Amino acid sequence: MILTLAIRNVWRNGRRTALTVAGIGIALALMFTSMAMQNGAWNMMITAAIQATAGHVVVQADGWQEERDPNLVLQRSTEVQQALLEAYPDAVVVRRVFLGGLLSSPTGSQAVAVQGVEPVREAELTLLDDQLVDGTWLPDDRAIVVGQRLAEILAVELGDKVVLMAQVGTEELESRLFRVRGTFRTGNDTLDAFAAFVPLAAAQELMPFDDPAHQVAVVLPSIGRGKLDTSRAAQALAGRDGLEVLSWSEALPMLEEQQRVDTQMNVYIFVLMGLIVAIGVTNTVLMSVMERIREFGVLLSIGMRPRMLAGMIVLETLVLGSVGAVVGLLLSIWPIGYLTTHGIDYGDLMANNSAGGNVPIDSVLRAHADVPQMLQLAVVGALVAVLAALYPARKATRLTPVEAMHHH
Amino acid sequence: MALVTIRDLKREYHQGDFVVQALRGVDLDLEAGSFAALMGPSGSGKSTLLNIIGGLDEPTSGSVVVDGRDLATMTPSERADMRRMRLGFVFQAYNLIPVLTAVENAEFVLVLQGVPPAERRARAREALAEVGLAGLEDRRPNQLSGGQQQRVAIARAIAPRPAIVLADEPTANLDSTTSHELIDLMRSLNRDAGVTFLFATHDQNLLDRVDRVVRLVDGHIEEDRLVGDAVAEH
Repeated sequence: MILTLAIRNVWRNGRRTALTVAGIGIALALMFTSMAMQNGAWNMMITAAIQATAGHVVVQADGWQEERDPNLVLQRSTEVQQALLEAYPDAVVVRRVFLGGLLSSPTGSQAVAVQGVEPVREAELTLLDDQLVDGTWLPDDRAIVVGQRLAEILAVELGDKVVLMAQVGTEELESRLFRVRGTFRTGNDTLDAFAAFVPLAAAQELMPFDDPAHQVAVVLPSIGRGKLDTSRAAQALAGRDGLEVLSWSEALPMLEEQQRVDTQMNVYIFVLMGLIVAIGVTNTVLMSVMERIREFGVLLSIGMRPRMLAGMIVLETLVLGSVGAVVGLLLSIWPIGYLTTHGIDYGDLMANNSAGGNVPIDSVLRAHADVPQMLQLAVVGALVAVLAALYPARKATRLTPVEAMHHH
Repeated sequence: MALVTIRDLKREYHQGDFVVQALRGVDLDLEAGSFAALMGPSGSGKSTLLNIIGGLDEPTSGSVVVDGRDLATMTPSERADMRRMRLGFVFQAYNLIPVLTAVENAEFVLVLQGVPPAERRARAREALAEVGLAGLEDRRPNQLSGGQQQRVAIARAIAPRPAIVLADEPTANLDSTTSHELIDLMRSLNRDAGVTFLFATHDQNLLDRVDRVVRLVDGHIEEDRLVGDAVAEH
C-alpha cells in the first residue's frame, strides 16, 4: 500500500514528473552514449597500438623499454620467437626492429623512423597493408613502404630507388638500397611524413648482431584489455638472460596513463551532470513535499510515524529515479546502436591526433556499449535521485501534526 | 474509570514576547460511550484541548490520561503509536488522501497498524457500508461529494475500532441537510456500535444532538452540562 501510494503520488503532477524523468533520462542517455563512444575509441586505439607497436605480451632486451637505445637488441631472435610460438600456439608472434635513420632520394633526404617487420606475419596485424594508396605491402627483400607525404618530400614514386643510412652498434654508418614498392596514407601526419617499413631481414643487415630484433611481440587472438598474465612467456624464456617480458600496459605506459586520465575526466563530467540532475530532482521533490504539508499533517495525525513518512518520500523519489534510469537506457539504445553499426568517420580530423600513440588507426570511430557498466551507472543515477530526496524527507520528519495541518 | 481524565491542564503558547494562555487549568472526565461536544467561541481553547487529548499537542502542565495512559510521559513516537492504535480522527476539511480510493482511505490506518491485507480490506468495506457508502469503494475523493468524503473520513476513523473518535468541526463544511445526515450517522454509530465521540464544534445542529456540552471560555470550562435524553437518563 505504501508503495502504491508512493507510485500514485509520483504521477500526481504528471507534467512535472514527466519533465523530471526526461531530465534524468536524457542526462543518463548522454552519459551512456559518450561512455560507449569512449569505450569504442579506446578499444580501437588500444587494439591498434597493441597490434602495430607492441603486443599483448612483449619481449625486449633489458633496458630497451626505458632507453630505446637501438644497440639494446635481442640476439638470436628467431629462437625467442619459436619459444613464444610454442607457449602461445594461437597467437601471432612477430619480430620487429626499430631504427632511426636518413632516407635519401636523388632529390632530397629526410630523417625517418624505420620499422623492420616480417612482411607476412605483420600483415595479419597492421592496418597499413589495407591503407596503401599505391603499390603492394613489402613484396620482396629490397622493398620499402613509405608514407605518402614522405614520398612527396623525397619526390619518389613506385619503383624509384632510395638509400637508407643508419648507425647501429659500430662507428660506421651502414647504408642500404631499397625500392619504393608502396605508399600509405593513415591520416596521421607524423606517420605519413616520417614512417617507413622494410622487411626484417633487410633491416637486420644494417645491424652488426646475430639475428637481432628489438622486440618480439605476442598478439593474442581475442583482444583483451585487462591485466594480462605474462608468466607463460616468462616460463618459456626461462634461462635466457638480458631480456624483459612486459604486458601491453607496461610496454605502452603512456596509453594506459592517457586512458586513466581520460576516464578520470569522464568521472568528473559525470559527477557534475549528476549534481545538476540531483539539484533538479531535489527541487521537484521539495516542491511536491511543500505542497503536501497539510496532507502529511493528516498522515502524522492518524498515526503514521515520521520515519515512515520520510521513507515514503524517499520511495517516491526512488520510483522517479528508477523510471528515469529506464528511460535513459531506452533513449540510449538508438544512438548507441547507430554508432556501433555506422560509427562516425573522423577522416582528416585524425591528422593531428596522436592520442593513441603514432599508430595507424581506422578513421571510423565506432561505439562499444559496456552493458554492465551502463546498468551500474543507471543504478547510481537512481540512487543519486534518492540522495536528492534526503533533504526534503528530513524536512518532513520535523513536522508536527498540528503545525502541518495549519500550513497553507 | 473514565476513558479520558484531565487534571489542571494548562497550555501556553509563546508568540514573541507574549504568552498566550490557551488553556488555564482544565479538569474533565469523559466516560466510554460518550457523545460529547466542546463548544465555545474561536480562541476559547477547544481545538487545543482536542489536540492535546489526541496527543497531537503537548500540555505545558497538568495531566492527561487517555485510555489508561498518561500522555505527558510519552515520547512523540509513542504518541504516534497511541493515535494509530487507539484514536480516530475526523477533521473539518475531510483530509482524505487524494490518490487513494475510498476503500484504500478507509483501510489506511489498518495498513499502518500492520493488519493483514485480506482482513483489513474486509474491515474497510464493512466500515464503508456502516457509513452508507457501499458501492462507492473504488471512487477517489475528487469523485465524491463533500458529505460522502466526510463519511469516508468517519469510516477511516472507525475501521480500526478506536477507543474514541475525536472530531474537530466535522460538519462545518457541509450544508445543513448533509450535516443532519452525518450527525444521524455518528449518533447511530454511538448508540448501536458504542463508538465514543468527542467533538469540537460551533454547529447548533450537532450541539442539539449530543449528550453533553462542555463550554469553554478563555481557556477554562465555563459550563459542563448534560443535555437532551441524557438529562432524563441521568
